Amino acid sequence: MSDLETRLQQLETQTQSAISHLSNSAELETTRVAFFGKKSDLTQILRGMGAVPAEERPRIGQLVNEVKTRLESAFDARKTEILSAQLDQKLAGETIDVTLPAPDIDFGRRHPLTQTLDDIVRIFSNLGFSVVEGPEVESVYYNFDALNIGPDHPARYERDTLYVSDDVVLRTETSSVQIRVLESRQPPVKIIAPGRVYRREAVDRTHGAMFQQVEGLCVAEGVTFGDLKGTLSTFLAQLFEAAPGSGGVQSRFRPHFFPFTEPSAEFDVLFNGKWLELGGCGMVHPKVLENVGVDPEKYTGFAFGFGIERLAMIKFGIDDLRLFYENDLRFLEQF
Amino acid sequence: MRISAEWLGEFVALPPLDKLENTLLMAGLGIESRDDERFELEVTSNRGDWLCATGIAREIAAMTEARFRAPSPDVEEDGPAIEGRVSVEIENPADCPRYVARLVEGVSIGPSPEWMQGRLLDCGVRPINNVVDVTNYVMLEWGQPLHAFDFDKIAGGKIIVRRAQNGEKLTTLDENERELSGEILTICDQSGPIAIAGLMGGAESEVSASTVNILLESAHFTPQRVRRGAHLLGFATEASKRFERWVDPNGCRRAADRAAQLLAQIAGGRVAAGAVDRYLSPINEAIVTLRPERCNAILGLKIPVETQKNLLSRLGFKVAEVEGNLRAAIPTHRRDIEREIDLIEEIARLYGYDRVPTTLHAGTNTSAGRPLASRLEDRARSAGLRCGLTELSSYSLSNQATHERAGVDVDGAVRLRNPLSEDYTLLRTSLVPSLLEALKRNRGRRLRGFELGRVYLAKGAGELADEKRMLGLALSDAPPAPHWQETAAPVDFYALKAIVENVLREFGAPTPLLWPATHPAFHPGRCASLALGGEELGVLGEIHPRVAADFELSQRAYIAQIDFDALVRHVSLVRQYRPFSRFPAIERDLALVVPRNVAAGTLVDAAWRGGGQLLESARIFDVYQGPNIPADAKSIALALRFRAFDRTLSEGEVESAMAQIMSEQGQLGARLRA
Repeated sequence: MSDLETRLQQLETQTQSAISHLSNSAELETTRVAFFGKKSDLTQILRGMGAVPAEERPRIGQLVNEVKTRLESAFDARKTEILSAQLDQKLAGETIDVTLPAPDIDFGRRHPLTQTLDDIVRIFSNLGFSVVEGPEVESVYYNFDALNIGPDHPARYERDTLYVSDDVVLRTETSSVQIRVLESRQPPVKIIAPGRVYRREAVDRTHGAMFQQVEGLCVAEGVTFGDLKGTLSTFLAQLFEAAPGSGGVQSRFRPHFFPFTEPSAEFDVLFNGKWLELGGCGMVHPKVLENVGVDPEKYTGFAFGFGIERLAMIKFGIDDLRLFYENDLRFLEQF
Repeated sequence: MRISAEWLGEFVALPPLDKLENTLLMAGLGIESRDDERFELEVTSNRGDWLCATGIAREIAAMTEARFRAPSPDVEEDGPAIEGRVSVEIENPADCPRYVARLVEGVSIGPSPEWMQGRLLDCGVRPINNVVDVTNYVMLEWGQPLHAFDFDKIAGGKIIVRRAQNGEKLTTLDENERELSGEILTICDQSGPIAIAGLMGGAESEVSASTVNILLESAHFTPQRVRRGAHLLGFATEASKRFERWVDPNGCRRAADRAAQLLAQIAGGRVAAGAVDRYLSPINEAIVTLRPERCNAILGLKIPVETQKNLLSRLGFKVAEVEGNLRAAIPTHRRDIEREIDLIEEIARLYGYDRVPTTLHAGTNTSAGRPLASRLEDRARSAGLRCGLTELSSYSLSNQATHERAGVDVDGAVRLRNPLSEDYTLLRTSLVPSLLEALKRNRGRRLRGFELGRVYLAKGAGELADEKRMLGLALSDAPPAPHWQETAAPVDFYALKAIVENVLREFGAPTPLLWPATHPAFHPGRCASLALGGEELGVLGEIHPRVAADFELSQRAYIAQIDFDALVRHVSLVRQYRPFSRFPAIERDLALVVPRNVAAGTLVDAAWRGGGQLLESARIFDVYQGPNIPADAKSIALALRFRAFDRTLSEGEVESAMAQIMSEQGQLGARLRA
């Protein structure tokens, strides 16, 4: 073994040991120069290669390069270790208490009535109904006459209905929209008309001068009273599917009277062991069909209507209708 | 209409009360309330015939196929004939098709017997005296409003039914002076108006303690005329309510006889022989034809003709089959039956609405539309959007290197046998690599995004993959664009936590407590796991700087991944409104010193445990470490708000709640800050 080889061996042992004792990034920079810089022992050895006999030169040269590579990689590994440990130490110092409360951020909410209406519209859309709208300031003809509510009917009294003039009222039902639709197109018609309606009524926990209604109409060939029951039962079952105590929604149809339907019924839902009245329905009265130029011998149909507030009150357990229109955040933020 | 079962039972055999309730309901008589035997019924405006005991009894008989029994009154006429002493003149039979007058003389006014008073009270009618009570009793029994005049006050014994003249006045028996007009129908004697037809009698001719002779009026006034009068005069009475809804014109005489019979019986009167019965335009039974197949077509039933006929007959309609159709003669108490559809409704009622099978019109599909799972995804998207996040969408195909750089395990990945490129060799096992790629793509921009997508985990050989829905959130802390107002909120771990909490709240999940966690992708001191009901739900935190560097991110970045399928298992979409208190709150601040390693969240939990029902909110508003606090401790300040739902809280109540809270805090090693 030549001197050079011995020196190389010693240098590798010394340097390996020095690398393993490195402990911080400052040392890394200074030692890098000491180990691998122009004045380092390793560089000196490489410079001294000229003195090596020509036949030995390739072997010794390879040896030197191998040592250099080993040392460099040991240095890099140690550097990574040191930096990583430093980072871990830094990160440990950055530890936060994840249980501290998050800030209040803005989180907009949909009004409970809109949520309820969305459910209603979704279910009826799936059953093939389309949504129509109409004016809230409505003519007496569409609001009453066309619906078979004759001039003597008490509903027309100024005591119950808000009049703008002799011929114009704030609509008391959204059925007026159905008349407009039936006038403009022939059956089959399957529509629901949601919207605001108005009554001349004092406001209390269960009554409002304004509330929202959904009225539905299905006119086609061969529509039966059984279809009316089936459609509304399906709707109620789907609407209350996630409501407490609903476990299989039961609905009930009771005979009732409305001028624009016959046979007429009121429909109830069994909720938390109690029958709750939801709305009215029935087969469209032949006179109403005649009024809009639909042949009642060829077509039959059913109609129904209910208040959105009422459904929302049942669904959300709300006990006062007025809350819907007071815009109190303590209320709105609960939905 | 208030009525007792006791009275109804006089005319029909009743089922037990609970069953009766259902019978009434399914006949169309809504039940407003019930007090044992006494029912308050909702009578629809088309069924004036239900505003009396016999009318309801008749309906019960039809519904239950029982026999309706209502004997005709048997009047003993022991007085001199009415003929020649009373005359009735009707100006226009269109206003008043029939007017029956009977005379009962020599009555002694006094209270009516107890049985009669009891029935009147059951119906909500106040007993007055035997004569007035008899008229009310007969009205409640047969639906025919009656009026009793003091015969001696009627000038000339002459009744004239005519329209009032404009400006005529009458003081009615409620002591109001009413101004009349040509639209209002009146009952007059020779001197002028003595009653408003169908509404109210005049004070002058009212029965008083000194009345001896009674002239009974039992008439049919047309609904329109009475309605008009009630509307113009602005009041209604039990009588007008019935006339407006139609009173059977062929029942006038029966009611007059019944009243005369009762007056003789309980007021000692002598009934004058005969009656004055002016029936100038007789009203006959309507004939309505029904096509049985039409009935079935409307109802969606197949009721045989014979059954349809029987159902109508039960209502007292005389039904004949003519050339396959049913011709029904409608008794005059049922004015609401005018056309075929009315008969169809009657058949439906008697057949039973509940027996009509539920069907759906051709082509309707009850399971159309999006399933609940898909709607829940939308709900999650909506929650993300409402937190200001943009929806992201990444390839589900990825590769091992990307996963490894993100510190995500690929052992369980679904690998492709024939990948087209090195980039897409497996299906992602986590959303974290996708989110990191999105952050990388938006380096230097302020990304706030979410992705709702699947991850894929291999199952045993021969089995398909386990596909799980995950919700991933990503925020980057890039500096906001300069703006003349300072608007940007800091982006940090808590900003991400706030979003996670809102998403969970949207699904009705309780606010979860986070616990420190470690995950190769995340900063070891800024990572938390969240669990609900013992089930691991996800992880959130700041991205590890090494991972960030590997994805060439230049800013801090925050990522959360929530197991959406697990979240859905814990959702409750039910929202139950909780009324809020109208009483004032009492607020207290609590400054605590606790060992440094105590998680702040546990102090809040301790406050809830100690505060009980009265604690409305508990929030941490200050965290401090430094001078005046031992080096191994920290100071945490809580703002507590107390409120009761039903009262103003007393200081004492709050003090005792505070003591409870302090005791809970003590268990955690906390003490009050000096």
